[in-house]
Amino acid sequence: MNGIASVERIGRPNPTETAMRVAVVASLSATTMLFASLASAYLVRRSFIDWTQPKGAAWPWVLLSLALAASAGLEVALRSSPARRRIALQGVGLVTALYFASAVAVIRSMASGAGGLGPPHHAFVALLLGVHVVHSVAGGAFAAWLFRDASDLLTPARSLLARLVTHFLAGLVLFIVLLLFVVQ
Amino acid sequence: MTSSPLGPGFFRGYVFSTDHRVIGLQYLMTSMAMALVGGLLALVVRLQIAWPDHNFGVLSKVLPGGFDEGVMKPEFYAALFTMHGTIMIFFVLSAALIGGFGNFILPLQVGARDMAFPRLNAASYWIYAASSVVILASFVVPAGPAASGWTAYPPLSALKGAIPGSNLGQDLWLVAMALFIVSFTLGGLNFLATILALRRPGVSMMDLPLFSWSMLFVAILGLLAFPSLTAGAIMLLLDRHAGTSFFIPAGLVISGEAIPGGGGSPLLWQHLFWFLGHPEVYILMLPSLGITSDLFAVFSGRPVFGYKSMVYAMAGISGMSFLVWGHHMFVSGMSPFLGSAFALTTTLIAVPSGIKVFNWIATLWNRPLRLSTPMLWALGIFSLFVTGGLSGIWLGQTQVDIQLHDTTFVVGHFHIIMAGAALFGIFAGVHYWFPLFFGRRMDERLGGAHFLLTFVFYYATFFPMHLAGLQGQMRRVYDPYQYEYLKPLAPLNAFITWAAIALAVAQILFFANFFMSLRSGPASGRNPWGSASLEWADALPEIPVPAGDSGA
Repeated sequence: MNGIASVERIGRPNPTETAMRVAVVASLSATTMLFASLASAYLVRRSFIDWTQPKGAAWPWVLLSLALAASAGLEVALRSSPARRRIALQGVGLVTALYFASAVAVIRSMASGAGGLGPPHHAFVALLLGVHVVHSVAGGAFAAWLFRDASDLLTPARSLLARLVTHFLAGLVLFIVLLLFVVQ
Repeated sequence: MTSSPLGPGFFRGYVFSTDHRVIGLQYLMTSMAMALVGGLLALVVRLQIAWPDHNFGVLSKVLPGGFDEGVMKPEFYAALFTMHGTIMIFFVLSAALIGGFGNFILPLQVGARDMAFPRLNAASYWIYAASSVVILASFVVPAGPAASGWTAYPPLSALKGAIPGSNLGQDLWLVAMALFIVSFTLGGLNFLATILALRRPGVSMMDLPLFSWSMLFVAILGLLAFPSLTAGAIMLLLDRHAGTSFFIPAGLVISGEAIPGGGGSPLLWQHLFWFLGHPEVYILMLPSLGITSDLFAVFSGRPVFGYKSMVYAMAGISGMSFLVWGHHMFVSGMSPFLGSAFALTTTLIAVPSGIKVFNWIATLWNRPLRLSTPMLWALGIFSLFVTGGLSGIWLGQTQVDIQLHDTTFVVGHFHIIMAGAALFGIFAGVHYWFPLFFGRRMDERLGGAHFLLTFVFYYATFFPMHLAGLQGQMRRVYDPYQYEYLKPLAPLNAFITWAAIALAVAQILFFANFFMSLRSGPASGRNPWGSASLEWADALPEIPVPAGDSGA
């Protein structure tokens, strides 16, 4: 059973759920445009002659693993029995908190390192990660609000929104890592 | 229980209300107050342009920090035009048309009980109010408000020591813009959700008045365009405070002192800014165009000609507004091929704009028109849209724009097409929906006189600017007459300033009419203009319930 089935049962879409869905999709669209703007700025700056690409590091992959783990953990939680779901969601929360802490640690170490945020690659890493952390905090708060009552876990519309937001944010980390460290 | 006029009932009902009508009026009133500030700043700018060496004794007493022995300081002049542009574009025109009319009228036109997220809506207004306070607060900080233009071009905006306005004033400008963007984004989400999810059963999208359509497109434009400015603003803040150099070029020397770091590109800011900046033009204009279409239908007694094509034209204008930002940067050294592409897309916007104009003519053609005050303003918008659109075609061409860039021709153009159309839209909307706002009508004779004077003096102010621009007069110049070839333009500039003063004085009629009608205007009845759209409907049947945060 999904949101569409419940729509058909009452004959017309539930305005509350539709409004929420529209708002979430619009928010994610705006966030997409924000990261598109940052990414385009990065691509322009990278084309300048003074650009130096840093050597590979392990932390981007740690961050990516944490984000993907949070995303996968949510899927596991939503497919679990109610008894296990709470534990799984707590695990998702823990992994998300680890992601925040790791990202902030990376930004702090870059800001306090040699040259601070002067080197352009450092600046863009701090910029993209920082903006992502802020959005993740907002997305995490939204997901927590959706799940504020355990019974809401069973609402297909709310599950859909939580999935959408969580997977989108994990996808953004993938995008950031690919942009900053893989695509040459 | 209310124990006094200012008791809990007052605050819940009129201050911290989640009712869309109250929030709409809060937006409208706040933007009117901001308009007074923005308008007065413009007058002081005009005084300086007309009489740059004059001793403004009275003004120097009111604004002592901005004058040196009665003569305006150059940095203060730069701050004035910066704050005038910022306040008028974001805090007046956007706020009144979208926050004011959008909040009050949109739910009624779609047949909803309220906006989809009323608490979010209230938060949107209060964040806007906070951003207004922050931008005004920059007038009283040391070194004064931002002075890098409403476009905040780096490096002036990126280096704290560049000019006095580059200090705390620029930070406050950025904070105010960030708050405004948050407010606008929350509002945009609400508009979209309300239109798409809360329409009354039986009301299809193609039944909506064109004003509601304009709100839909404005919400989409805002949600997709403002993030670009958000990105730029974050990078600018980091440049100012975190040691980055996104926009600071290498080899910069200020007052003989080399600026460390660098390597960034000021042009990058221009791209990010104008990717918002041009859609912002349509964010301001589309509501006015929607109001004009609806008013032409009401006051000609005929449905708007080519309704669907009007909707598609607005969609076309909205979509193409993302493809034209480069025409603001023709002189930035961009590739001539790229310049040609932007010239082409800019010119193509004339097609959907032309559809609107011809549909308006067809709507009015051979009809007995009721020339009530709202209709006069709508006709004024029609006139400004055509006039400004024609000079826009000039400026869209690289060959012409390179000559006219940064001249007063551009100032005249955008004040007629963007500021004028939007401002006239506010007047049209206030006169038209005043009965819905307050149950009273505004005075028609005062309204007519206000329109006539405003229309004449608006053109008298901004049309001659085209002529000065064609003569080569630059915009934003502290003293134009330091250049020998501009000295013959002194009488023309004095004429423009006198016209601007007359334009400002004419607005007293509006405020007098507004507040007198508010207090003692004749009762309007439910549908004084005989409109067929839903906001005037008498009895509202069962309507969709807003989303979960209604607080009801």
